[in-house]
Amino acid sequence: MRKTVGSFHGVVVALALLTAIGMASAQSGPQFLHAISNASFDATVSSLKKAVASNGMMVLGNLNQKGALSTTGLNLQGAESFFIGNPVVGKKLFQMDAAAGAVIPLRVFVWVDANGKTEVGYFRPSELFAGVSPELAKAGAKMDGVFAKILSAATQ
Amino acid sequence: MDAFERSRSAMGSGVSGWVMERLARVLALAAAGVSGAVLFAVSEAGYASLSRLALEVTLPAIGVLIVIGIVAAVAGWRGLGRTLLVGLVVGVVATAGLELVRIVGFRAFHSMPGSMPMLMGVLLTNRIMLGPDLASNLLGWADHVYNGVTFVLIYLLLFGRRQPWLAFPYALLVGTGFLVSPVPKALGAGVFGAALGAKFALTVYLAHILFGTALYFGVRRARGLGRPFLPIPGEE
Repeated sequence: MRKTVGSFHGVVVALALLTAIGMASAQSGPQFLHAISNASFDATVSSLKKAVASNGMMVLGNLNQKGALSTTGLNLQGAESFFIGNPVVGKKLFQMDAAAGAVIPLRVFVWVDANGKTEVGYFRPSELFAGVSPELAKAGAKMDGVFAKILSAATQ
Repeated sequence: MDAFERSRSAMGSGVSGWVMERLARVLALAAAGVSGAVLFAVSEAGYASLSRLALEVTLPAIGVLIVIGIVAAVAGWRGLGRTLLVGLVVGVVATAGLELVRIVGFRAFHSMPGSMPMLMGVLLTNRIMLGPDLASNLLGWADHVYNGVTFVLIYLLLFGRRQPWLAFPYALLVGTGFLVSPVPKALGAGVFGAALGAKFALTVYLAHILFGTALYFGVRRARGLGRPFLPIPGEE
């Protein structure tokens, strides 16, 4: 009996450890930062574009995922990705490490969530950059600040 | 009297002809004012894409300027006709001078964040994610030169040829407008290009001094541009 209790404890401890490892690994990827906007989808997109410009960046391109997915019969209320960067920062990062191209231009996603609210989100740039090269992490930290301002202004 | 002469005498003479000529000048000033470099700044501020602005503002404005040129020829408004022609020629030459400095600064001293005409081209054709091609480069250069033409036209309509030296402060004002516009900021160079150091502002001002020099000599050589809007003393 004593032996049975002991092995039961062992299983619980092992399960707890596995769960903890699982949670840790789930959190070890780049953090997804997002905020809910008080405005409509279109108004939020418009605010985002202005916020990008006022923070010294450019919208280099966009992917209308709502439109693309409508071809599959999925009708989303709003889903669009914006690729954000600027020539000066891009040039510097590519000169530091050409692999920076794997994460730049940075992507900001605007979507309508299950509650009908418009959200804006992105992966923390410094963590994406650090994943490519430690040299890029410092530049990524600067982008963290810029993107936090963009998120705040776009969702006001 | 043929149809051409009849329409000329109907539009070009008398008080009504003078009023119509002035109205045509106002229209030309408005078309040049709203369709030039200001649109690049508007697009970089995030209000609308440059491709959309080009379709909805630049192309109609070019159409308006062409129509005004045709009407000026038909009505015999020689001053306005000359103003448009001189604006076109001097605008092209002055932009070429500006580009000379910009290209040397960009290639030799890395004083600019990039090639403006190429950037404008990919923005105009919505292919910044794909990079430039021949069509985008041609469109970008055309738009850049058109911007130069509009600045010269605005100058000629406002100041005429009365005080040619005004070309220099005008060109420096245009350069300053560029430096504080949303364009350098969006390019990552910051306001006044501060992120690239003084060489950015220096290149922009040198380029605009050359633009102003071409404008100065163009204005001095021009004749019979008619009465400008601003009441400044000097020969017309």
